[in-house]
Amino acid sequence: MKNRLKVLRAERDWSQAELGMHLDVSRQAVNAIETGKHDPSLPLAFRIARLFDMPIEDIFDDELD
Amino acid sequence: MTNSTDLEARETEQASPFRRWLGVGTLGFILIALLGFVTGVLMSAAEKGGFSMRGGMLLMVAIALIALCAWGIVRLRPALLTGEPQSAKTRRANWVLVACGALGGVIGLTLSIAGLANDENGVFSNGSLSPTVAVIVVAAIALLLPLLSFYWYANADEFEKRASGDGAIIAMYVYSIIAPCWWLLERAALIPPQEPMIVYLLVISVWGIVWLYRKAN
Repeated sequence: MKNRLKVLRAERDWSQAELGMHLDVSRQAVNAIETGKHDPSLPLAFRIARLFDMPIEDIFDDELD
Repeated sequence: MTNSTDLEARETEQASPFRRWLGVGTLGFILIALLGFVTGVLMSAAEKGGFSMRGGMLLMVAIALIALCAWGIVRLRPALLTGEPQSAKTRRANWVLVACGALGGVIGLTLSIAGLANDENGVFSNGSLSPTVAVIVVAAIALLLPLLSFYWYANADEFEKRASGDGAIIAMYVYSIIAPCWWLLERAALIPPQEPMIVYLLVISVWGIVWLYRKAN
């Protein structure tokens, strides 16, 4: 699943580790999500959306459209 | 405000743990070899009824090197002491893994030293064992390991749990193949009797390898 996490993170000048700290996950988890190797669970996707104050569908794209 | 080059540099540093893990692996092998050496020196001392000057000095040097390796492993281990920001839960989960490794090391050393009394060598010997040592080690495995595992599971993030879970599933498949195949081949007198610790080591190794692979890929 594609996502804009890296862009949103860069806009805030956060490292992967810093974003991981905000989301209560490891840096490896952030890296896996950014590179599309891991699709976050719904609770984590909501945490990400809340952190960036955006709807989930503006961050994640299931590429079905 | 940090510029993008700084951010990229920090990420490159954080996202390239291979060298650190290579260092940890190398020091780990040296540490195991040194522990074996210490076991040998202690065994020799037990047989001769004391340490020679040379044996005592070698033992001290080996213990110093063990301490040095242990310090190096802690220093090199990514994310624990490198200043990388971590959430409290991630830090707790990582330290539980370190504690599990330390517990395994202590159990291995205990079994090695306990084997000295029976002229046994090797952590995975099938020789007789003192009931006291057996009860202590079983208590450590049966009580501490589930507690540590539960604590780790409560603190690890979903990515780590998925990597561990994938490893566990594949390890279970490996076990479900190895155990019956060995049993059948043993009955046909084609291979030696089944060694539970060899099966255990194979299964646990597959679990660990897949776990690390899933984390890295």
